[in-house]
Amino acid sequence: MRETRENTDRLPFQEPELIQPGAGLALEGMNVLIADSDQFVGNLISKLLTQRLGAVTTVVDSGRKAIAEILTGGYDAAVIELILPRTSGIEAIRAIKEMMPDFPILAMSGELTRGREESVRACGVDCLFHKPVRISMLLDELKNIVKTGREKPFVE
Amino acid sequence: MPRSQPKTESIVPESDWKALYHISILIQNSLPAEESYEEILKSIGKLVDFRSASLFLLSKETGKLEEICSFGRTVDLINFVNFNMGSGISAWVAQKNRPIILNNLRKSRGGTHTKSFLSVPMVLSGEVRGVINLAHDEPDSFTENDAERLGIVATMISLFVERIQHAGYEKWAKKEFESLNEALQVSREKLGQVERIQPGAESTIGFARRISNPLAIIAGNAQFLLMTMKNPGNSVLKRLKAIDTEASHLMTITGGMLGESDKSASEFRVTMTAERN
Repeated sequence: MRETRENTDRLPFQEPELIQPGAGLALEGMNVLIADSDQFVGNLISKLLTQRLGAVTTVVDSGRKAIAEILTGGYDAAVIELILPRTSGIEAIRAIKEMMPDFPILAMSGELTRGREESVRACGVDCLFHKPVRISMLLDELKNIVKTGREKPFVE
Repeated sequence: MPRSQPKTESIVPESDWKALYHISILIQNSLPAEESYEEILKSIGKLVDFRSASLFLLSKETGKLEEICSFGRTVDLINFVNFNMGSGISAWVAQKNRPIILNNLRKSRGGTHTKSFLSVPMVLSGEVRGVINLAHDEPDSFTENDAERLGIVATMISLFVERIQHAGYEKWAKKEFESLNEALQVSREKLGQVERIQPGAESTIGFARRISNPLAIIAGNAQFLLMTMKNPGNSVLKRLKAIDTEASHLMTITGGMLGESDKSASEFRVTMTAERN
């Protein structure tokens, strides 16, 4: 299918065939926020986390929306693309980590320059991936960072 | 058997009531001026322990939050992020109309040592008027109770803000009334002058008009006689010339009177038109 071939170029994963219901459901009942300006990629990651880990996901397309969502206090972790419109992914991570240093954030980008990588690490991101990502690694890292720290703001 | 009274237990400790009472009295007695904000912010310390506090109000002109007063350093987070109602987390609190507590802040690069942050919206008649932020240098400093208590104070401060705005409006209205009254006074004076000028102007014009024709006839006849009389005596010639000269003199005077009256009337018209505009 032509559309599938086109979309294959945008796939954030090395082994897309692994997106299928799997055992474990390590993040069952957990709310994960996904921030990606590419709706296709965002939905794909959402599908992976929902089906493989049992997470409840929400997809947003800008850094500002990601911050606003996380401040509502309903999330356990976030997967954030660094290149986002308006407020960038790096700024969003910086803002979230300034307010909630222990909130688990997994960042990813297809254009990871040395400068960008240093900036993101300085923000205190928990995990950083080059796209395309190896699904098994992503799932493992996500399970790890969610286990190690959970921080939520109190919001009435 | 006497019926037992239902137990009514206060969830607010007595010390909190006292603190709220003191804050309320301070707010009631404060002058409706922006200088009072700092004292009011400081008084929140009777209820919630903090190191710095900031008050942000929503500008009616821009629809964005503006810092009005701070006690200690300005309290806000993530100023580099823009939300619909301005920048920083205060704008998010105002937008969502919900308080937030962050008790484990990372030390910022700017060198501030805020570790705990509490922000509550100021709501009056269901509308967000502003935001109050508190900061503390120690982690885990604020509780849900603090948010609730600050929420009560925030409502009181909203009323005070309303009072200040009302006082500002009253001041503006008074000034506007005074300036309108002054303008009315000036107009009245001008109208009085015109009323005094107008009858005078009319009588001058009437008089001048009434005598100008007979004068013209006198002068014309004198000139006719001078031109047509054959061998008039010196005495007659002298008298006719005198009549002509004096008639011309009187005509010059009446001409001048007509001109002045016209000038006064036109000046009045110009002044009245300018005032109307």
